[in-house]
Amino acid sequence: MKISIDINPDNKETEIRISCPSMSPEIEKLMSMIRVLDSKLTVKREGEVFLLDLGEVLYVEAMERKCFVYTANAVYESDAKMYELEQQLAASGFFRVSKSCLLSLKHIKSLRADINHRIRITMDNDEQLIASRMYADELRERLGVK
Amino acid sequence: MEDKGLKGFIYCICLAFTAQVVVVALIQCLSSESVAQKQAEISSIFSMQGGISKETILQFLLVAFLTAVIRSFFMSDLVIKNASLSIRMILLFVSEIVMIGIAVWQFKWFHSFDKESIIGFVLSFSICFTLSIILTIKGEKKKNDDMNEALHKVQKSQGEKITSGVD
Repeated sequence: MKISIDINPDNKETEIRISCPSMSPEIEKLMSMIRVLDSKLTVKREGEVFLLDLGEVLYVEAMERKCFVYTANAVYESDAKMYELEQQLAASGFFRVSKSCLLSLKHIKSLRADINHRIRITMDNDEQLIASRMYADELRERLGVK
Repeated sequence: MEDKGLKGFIYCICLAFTAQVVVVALIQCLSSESVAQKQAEISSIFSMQGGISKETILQFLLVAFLTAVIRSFFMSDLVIKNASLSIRMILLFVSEIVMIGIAVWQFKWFHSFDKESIIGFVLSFSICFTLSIILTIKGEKKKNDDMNEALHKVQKSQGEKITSGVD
């Protein structure tokens, strides 16, 4: 198998292209490994690095220039910036609810209209988050209830 | 209306003050001379000599200020962190009624009490109050139900998309 890497600042995003004459079990295995890597988030806690499954992540919160990743049972820290996480997680159903918070749509338990056109969001672990007015409108649009 | 900070607070005062002045001015304009005379006997608000008195204007301003204070107390999360919109509305209405009641008593807005007027006022106010609370609760429930129904639909379709992607 020939491996070639094209490092070029003009490349807008990382792209993995597989050229092969036909599909083989090795290629399928390679693809599933890439998919697994792509759906993991590299985070750390108490000096240890973890590869977190995106499905476990409830929400991400930015605080004092740091990003914290919340699962049902633990809090991790990410070195990535909020906008980077937003780009990375968008395809996995994550979206912004305030300037400092990004959450997973599939982990929302319920929504409740709040004062000043905000939305109070209850997550699967019963934690409550607030979608600010601007992002609440976007959420309503996304849900098709605006 | 943007409810943020001082700007929202001043906006609320201006709105409440304007509403009071406009209502009194309209009633006065639409009333015949004999009705206006009767109104002036019942309430100091309608004792006009070339316009609303300076005293009444200042009283209206104070009521508008207190209205804004009560509104920002119940319709923000400065004090009450987690309450439904309906509960906030009920508390807001009750507090406003108490405050206006105190204003009526203190400023002697109705110095000549008439039994029929009071019964009429209490009756119409109670009907309006109950209706507005019922509509608020129903409206809030419908809004929440619609949002949650849409959420579950989106979650379901997203789940199906993820499952088919894995397969």
